[in-house]
Amino acid sequence: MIEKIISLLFLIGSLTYLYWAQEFTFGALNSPKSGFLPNLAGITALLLSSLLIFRQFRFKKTTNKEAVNWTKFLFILIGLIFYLMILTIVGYFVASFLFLFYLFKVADTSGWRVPLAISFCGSAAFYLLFSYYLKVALP
Amino acid sequence: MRRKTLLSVFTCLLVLSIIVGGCTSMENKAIPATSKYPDKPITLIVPFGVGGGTDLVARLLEKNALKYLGQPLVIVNKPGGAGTIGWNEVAGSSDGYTLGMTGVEIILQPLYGQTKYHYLTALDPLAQIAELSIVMVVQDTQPWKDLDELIQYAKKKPGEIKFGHGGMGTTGHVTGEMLAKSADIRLEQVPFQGSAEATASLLGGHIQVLFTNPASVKEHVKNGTVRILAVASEHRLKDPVFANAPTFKEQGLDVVCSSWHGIAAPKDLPVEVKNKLAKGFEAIINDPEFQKNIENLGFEFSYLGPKESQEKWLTENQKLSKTVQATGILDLIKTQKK
Amino acid sequence: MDILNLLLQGVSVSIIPANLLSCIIGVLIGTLVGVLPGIDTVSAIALLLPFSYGMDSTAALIMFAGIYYGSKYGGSTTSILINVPGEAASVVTCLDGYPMGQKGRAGAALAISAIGSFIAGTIGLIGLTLLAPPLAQAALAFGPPEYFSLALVGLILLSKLTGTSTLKSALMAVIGIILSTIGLDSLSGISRFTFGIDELDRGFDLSIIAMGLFGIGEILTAMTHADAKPDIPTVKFRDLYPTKEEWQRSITPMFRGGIVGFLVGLLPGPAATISSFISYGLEKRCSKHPEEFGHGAIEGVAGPESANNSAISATMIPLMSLGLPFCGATAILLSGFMIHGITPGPSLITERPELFWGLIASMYIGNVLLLIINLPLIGVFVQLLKTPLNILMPLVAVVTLTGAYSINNSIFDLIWVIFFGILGFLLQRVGFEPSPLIIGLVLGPELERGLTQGLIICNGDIWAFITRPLAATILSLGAIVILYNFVTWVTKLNNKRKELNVN
Repeated sequence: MIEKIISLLFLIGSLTYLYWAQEFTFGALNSPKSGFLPNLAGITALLLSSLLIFRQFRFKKTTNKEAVNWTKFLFILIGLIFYLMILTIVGYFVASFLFLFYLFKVADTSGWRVPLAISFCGSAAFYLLFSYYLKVALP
Repeated sequence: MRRKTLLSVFTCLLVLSIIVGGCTSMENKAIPATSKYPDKPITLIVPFGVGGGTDLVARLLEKNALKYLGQPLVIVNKPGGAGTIGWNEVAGSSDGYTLGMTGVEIILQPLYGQTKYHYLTALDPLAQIAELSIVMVVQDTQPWKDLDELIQYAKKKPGEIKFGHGGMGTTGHVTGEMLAKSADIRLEQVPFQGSAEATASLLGGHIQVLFTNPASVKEHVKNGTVRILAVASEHRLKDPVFANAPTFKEQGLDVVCSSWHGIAAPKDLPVEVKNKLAKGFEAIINDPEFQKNIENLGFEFSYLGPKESQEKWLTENQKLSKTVQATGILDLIKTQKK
Repeated sequence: MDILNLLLQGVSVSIIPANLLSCIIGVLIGTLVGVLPGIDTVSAIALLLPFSYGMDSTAALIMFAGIYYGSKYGGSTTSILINVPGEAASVVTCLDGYPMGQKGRAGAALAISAIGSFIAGTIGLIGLTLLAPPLAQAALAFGPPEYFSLALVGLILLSKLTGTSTLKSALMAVIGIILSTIGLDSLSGISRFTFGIDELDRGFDLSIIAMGLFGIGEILTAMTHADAKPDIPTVKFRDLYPTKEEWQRSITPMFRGGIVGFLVGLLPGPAATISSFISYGLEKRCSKHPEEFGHGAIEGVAGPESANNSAISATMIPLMSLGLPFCGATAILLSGFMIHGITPGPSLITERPELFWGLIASMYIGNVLLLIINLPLIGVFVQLLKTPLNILMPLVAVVTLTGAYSINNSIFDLIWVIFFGILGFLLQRVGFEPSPLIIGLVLGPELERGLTQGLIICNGDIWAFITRPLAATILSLGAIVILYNFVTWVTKLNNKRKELNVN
């Protein structure tokens, strides 16, 4: 199922890309302009993805992959988005601390003290490493 | 049970971040108190990648900032979009602690297309630091001994000579087209990504002419593998390697084009703040060691104060906007889009 | 013998305590830079430039060079351990290094990549010592039509690296090309597909996409497995180092990778990354058991890791003998030279022999030092794997995101890292291999540039490409390999059909 959805997404994606690519001049084979490669790539992507979908519907092949805990996936995603949102507001150290702690809890770490301590030490160490030694201008 | 804990952690985080966020964002809005300014490090945005020419100049500035400005400079690279990403950020943050490095692209980019700000009005120059003239070189195996011979050849065989430059619409490209226009010849342009690739193509004989900055071909000129035909500046270059090379003007062609590096601040800074910054940078830039380092990097040291820089921006803007139209560069770029 | 004398002179320069110390500092920083995802050589050297003013120029340059080649040693570490490439050049190492790690052979993979790096680095250095000026001249014969041919052949041959379906791999490669067209284009001077969004003007950084697809994607996979605690194989001390069989299988790939990397390094572009892909493709073709590739074949670690190291030595050739930096890292090295008043170029070797030979000698020493540093570190790194996944993965997530942020100081980039992370996670579940995407992303722009420039040079006649001997050779070699593949594919298909008929 996911396989079909993804192929469909690629198909839609290449269609929209091709549509946008019309904004640029194609040129000709002996003098390609900015739309040359985008148009060719878009058409190829379109062909390949439709072929893929065709094959997927024709040969029903089910691949058995390990089950995924989708609730967890969702929670991690929320955490990631949240991290980005608060990064500029509360600064790198606090945001990383909260994010680490949140992920530890999502990943079923038992207890409170140990994850708290690790996330504190972790974010402090990273802050020191990146900001102090590597002079990255962290938010 | 587990989900409950998760949810509670999540809401805790939300509440906490809103509280903390509210506090810090109020702090940031404060207008710089001019008497104490600067009381925290100043961010200098370099709108190009780490290790490029602009970045190196900025890093040279960083060295003496504490001594002359009273606060250290923090260099933040915001590369991309030929400088526009970085300048948009400078133009948009008038807290007095965000400055930006500038270059000739500040004038060129708005000419080629829509930029978010019109930089000449959204920014205030604080200083110009260095200039880079464009030189015209050919491989030594080519038959043309001077510019005139090349022009004669191009007149006989229009379009056969191909010149390389570091990217569409860059100063190298502008110079090449200026020459073609003022000598009334046809030269085909080959865009490269950066001057190193263009130089390699010249050395390999894939293109015949190259317009680039002097530093990237200096060693080859010295070595004799590359012959310099003309310099696109008002006066001859000081560097002994290039001192013998005539300018275009000497040869009766009005081709003058250079790129430069400077510093600019957003428009609405209080006058005292601006003056303090301008003075500080003047001191940093006129430090003899700084000059020496700038010249080591292959730039021509050329300090201009805020007022002179402003004038230069305006005259350059007029000249370049005419040039890119007259030489057809603008059309060339516009026809890439429908 | 002349060269040997000069080199000995160089050795005497490089073992002056100050120079030796800066060599050690350089390779240590390089190792750290390599291990940390996102932090790259360019920013590390840029950071140290202001501190180097006070240093002696030879010592400073020895240090910078040390950071540069040192970083390629460390890059493979995170690829093997946690599937997060520490450098773009180590993306390929993920393909087989990580499966090896999961089988409990992480130590062996790390050891092989360190030794391979050493051997290939030395091959590259020997090339640099003996052949620098003539090779630099030879590389200049490659013009835009040749780059176009190389990129075209590369895209076709390299897009199918692992055993998944050809269709899927081709689609991924094309999507890579599509991504590469986003941003401000230096060929046409316009922005493509940016929709007025500033940050899109920059285009997609290779490392951003690699960190997302491989790094965050892997973290998501590891953290969302229904059984969150897979057994980490306990590693015994003697398992830390490669077995005799692993050794025998890796030794030829190391030399092959070393030579491939060296040749690719002479040309413009992200040589280290490209060379590692080429080497992987080559090893798979040469191998007696190609079916093992992608499931932990030691050759798939030994070859690419060797290739990217000798590519590094080779990129020093155009830099030192022509003064031309062909990638970001050599560009900053050039700046390092110039800040100290030294302009690399044709006359460097004759004008400043003590500097040139001192630098080269220090690179030999640095390579040995790196081997000495890296081998014991393997034990430490493998110990890291004993950390429970639910502790390790969040930490890796933060390091990866921080590293990604540091590339352009941009939150916007982080959004993309996460986007590509999700994409990588989903793609992996449905059997898409993300590595062809990287190939498309790297070679797409080369293709477009080579074609546009080449056509102007050849007066708009694409058939003129074939009249250029080098381009013609590349294209015909490519065509032969493709034809061969096609023929074997058809015979395989026929055989299958026959079997079916018999049944």
